This record gives sequence, structure tokens and C-alpha cells, in this order.
Amino acid sequence: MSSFRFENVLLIDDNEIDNFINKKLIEKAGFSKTIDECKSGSDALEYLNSKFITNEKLPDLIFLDIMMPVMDGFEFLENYDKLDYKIKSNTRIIMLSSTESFKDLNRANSSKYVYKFLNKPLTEPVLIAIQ
Amino acid sequence: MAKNKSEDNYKYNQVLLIDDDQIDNFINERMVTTTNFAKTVSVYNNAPAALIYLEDLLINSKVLPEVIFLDLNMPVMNGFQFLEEYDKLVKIYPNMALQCRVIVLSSSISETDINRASINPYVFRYINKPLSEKYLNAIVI
Repeated sequence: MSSFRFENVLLIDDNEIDNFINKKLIEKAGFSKTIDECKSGSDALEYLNSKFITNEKLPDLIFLDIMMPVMDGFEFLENYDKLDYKIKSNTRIIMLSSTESFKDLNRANSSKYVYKFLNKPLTEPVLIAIQ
Repeated sequence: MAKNKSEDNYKYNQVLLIDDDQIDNFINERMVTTTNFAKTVSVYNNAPAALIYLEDLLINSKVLPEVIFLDLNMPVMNGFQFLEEYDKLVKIYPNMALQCRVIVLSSSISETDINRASINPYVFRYINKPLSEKYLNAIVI
């Protein structure tokens, strides 16, 4: 039962293939009991709000992609900031970048919500290193 | 005056800076203290000396620094080699991993370095130099 490191993980990525691979990887590593996915930043905000309203388990960890249409990772963070603090209190965000841009790293490091910044692809050693 | 401020105004008690660049150390030390990020800063310009310092604290059960800012590109022992030695210390003193967080502070923007640091379990963050108040404020451990 407690063999999972996390109870619930949320993947925010518009790329279905990335979501699929990351989901498989997380499952295989026994990293999280449940894994949910949202295809955009706005979907994720809705997801978080509805989980909060219905008093369901909020994600312990969010893997946030940067490049997404409609609302990108950084725009998501701006809106995330406005959410009720109770939604955010037990959630950590890991940003996943696929761009070779250190500017993203610097932006991510300026956000108090970003726990870690990682380059894609997500791999098993990377998951293990998440405390 | 600032002198009258209580200890509570500091985010952390103790910070360790490991960087061979004297100017960077000077600037970062100022940055860490003037922003009230840490009350005291210990500075080492080489990784082996920092390891000896940490080992001494561990042996004597003294308070460890909460944050270790680690440069990567250093002569004699680089940041990654430091992390290997750090791992050996953690094996002997497991509490250290809970008490200290390593933040890599490097001017390297190489993907390889960022990825290599990311998969290290002790590395909490990878910050591109120069260290700024904005980055310090965003550090929540």
C-alpha cells in the first residue's frame, strides 16, 4: 500500500505521446498510486479547482510542460498563484522543458512554486532523484 | 536599524558557498546577507576544504548549513566530484541529506550539466549565475 512514493501525480502536457510515456514510466517505477493528466494549463486549473471543491485528493506532484497552446506552463503558474492556498499547500511542481533554453530555467527558478526544473525526457533515474 | 532585527527575519541560519571564483563569492555572500536570506555565510574557494568543514560539523554534531550553494566548474575537485564525496558523507551521516539542500550555482548552461545535476538526489535546484534576489526569494525548502 505504502510502496508508492506519491498518492496522486498530475501530468500537464498537450503532447499525448509524452503523457503516455510519462504515465507508463511513473507506473512502472511505482512512483504514484494514481496519475491524472490534463492537456492544457487551463484544463489543469479547472481540474485543481474541481478537486478542491469536491474535497478530493489533490496531486502531491505536478509535472508541468512549458510549451503548450492556449495557456503555457508559465501562464499556468501565474494563474496557479491566484488559487486558494489550500490547493497549493501540499503540491509541488516540477517543470519539464523540451526547449534547449536556459531562459526557461531562469524563469522557473524565479517561481516559488517550482520545485524542480527538468529537461525532457523524464527518465527513471530522474524520478528516483525526486525527494 | 537592521542590527535590531531579530533572528526571525532571516530565512535561513547558515549557508555554505563553494566557488573558486573570489569575485562571485564576494557578490554572492553580499547577496545572501543583504537580502536576509541567511544569517551567516561560510565561504570556501575549493570543494575539498568545504568537505572537511562539513565533516567537522558532522563529527562534532554541530548545526549544518541549510543551504549549500555549489559551483560546478572548479579546479582540483569539481561540483560533481564534490557531490560524489557528499554522497559518501550522507551514507555515514544520513541526517545530513535532510538538513542540507544543495543548490547548484553555475554559469554553465549546458544541457548535460543541467541534466546531470537534476538526476542527483541531493541537488535541490540548478541556478544560473548570477544569483539574484528573485531566485533567493523563490527558494522554499
